Amino acid sequence: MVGLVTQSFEGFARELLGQRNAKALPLAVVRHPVGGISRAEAEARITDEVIAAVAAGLQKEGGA
Amino acid sequence: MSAAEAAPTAEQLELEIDGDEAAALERFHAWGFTDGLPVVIPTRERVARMCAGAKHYPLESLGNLAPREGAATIQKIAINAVMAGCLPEHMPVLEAAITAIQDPEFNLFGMQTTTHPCALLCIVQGPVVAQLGLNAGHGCMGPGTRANASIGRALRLVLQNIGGAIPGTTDKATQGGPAKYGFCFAENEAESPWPPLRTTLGLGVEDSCVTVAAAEGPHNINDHLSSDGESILNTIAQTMATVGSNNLYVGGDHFVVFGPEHAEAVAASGFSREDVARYLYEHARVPVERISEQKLEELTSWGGYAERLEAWGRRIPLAREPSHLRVLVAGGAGKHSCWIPTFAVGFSQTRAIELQASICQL
Repeated sequence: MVGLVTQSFEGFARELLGQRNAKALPLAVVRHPVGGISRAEAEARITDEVIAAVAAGLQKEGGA
Repeated sequence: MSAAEAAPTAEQLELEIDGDEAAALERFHAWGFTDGLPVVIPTRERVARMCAGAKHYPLESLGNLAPREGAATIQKIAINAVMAGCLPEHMPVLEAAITAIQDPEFNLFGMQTTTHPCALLCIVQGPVVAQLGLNAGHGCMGPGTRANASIGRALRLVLQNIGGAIPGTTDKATQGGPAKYGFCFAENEAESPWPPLRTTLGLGVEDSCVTVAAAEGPHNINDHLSSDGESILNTIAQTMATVGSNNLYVGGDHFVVFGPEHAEAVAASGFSREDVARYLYEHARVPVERISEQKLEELTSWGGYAERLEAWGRRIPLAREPSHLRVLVAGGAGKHSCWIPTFAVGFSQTRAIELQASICQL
């Protein structure tokens, strides 16, 4: 499992994971915002870096 | 909010609360334990006295509060109650409210972490209102009455210090709002032309209770000239029919709080509470022409009601059902009422306040 979060909410996500003893959950961070934008703009936020972070997170989890 | 210092150890805390109070207050601010205003330092003696007002044992937990899932023990609640300026007799109200917010229908996690500016609204009802000196009249929504202010503030501190909703970190309200400092008032039963609100929520006239909701601050509704009920209700309906409200997006329940003079005029025109809710359901609607195309798409996808638009006559109701409007009376003289919009991703909850003597007092 990998969490997907925007830059503006990365701190929030990490704090929540810490509060819930789930700091090890990998996060992939995309450019903020994802609300109020077109589908094309949203898709453009899925950069190679984001895809690599998701892939790395899944591998860390054993391909879960 | 500036970044708080790392949480203190138990030893550090004990040193501070047993030492100089002015210094302890500065440490409490630095640790992020306050709402930005000074608090009463929760010394052992003060916390013990506060616990004595509770119905439950000091180490008993009322549950875990999201998002941190901190255990809401009576002792921890009492610490926050002391900090907020409560009296021991306020504890049963806090216990009922903290129990109520854990109902899954309330959606505490959502309320605590949303970008919406919702506060914890606490409406106290029944005989306990007079017993505790809660204000249901002039200025009941603040400021000026100790019970209203300290109970509302204690609940906020509990949400922050036990629930872990840290402003800017886990409480992600885009702008926040003044109601978040505390939002507690009482129903003005004595001047209500309708039966007490709690009688519509499954409780009896003799019961005391608290209704909690994730709510915005009150939106005033001024109507000095209308003298008949329908005209006043029309003013209220048109005030509610706004495009930016969460209630328009997703429904939820929300509150119409009549000032006694408006309530008297509406009731004199033959409107029961149910009639008022039905009227506002029918008339507090936003025609789709007032909403931009993109916004309408967002609204209908979030609210999942695209298929109901035609049945509604392409006028979206602020309340999806008449029963989602909570109608009550509060305040004093004057031609003002208010609408209290809500987070809407959840529903208000009501719990009886149990006033039995605590085991601590025996």
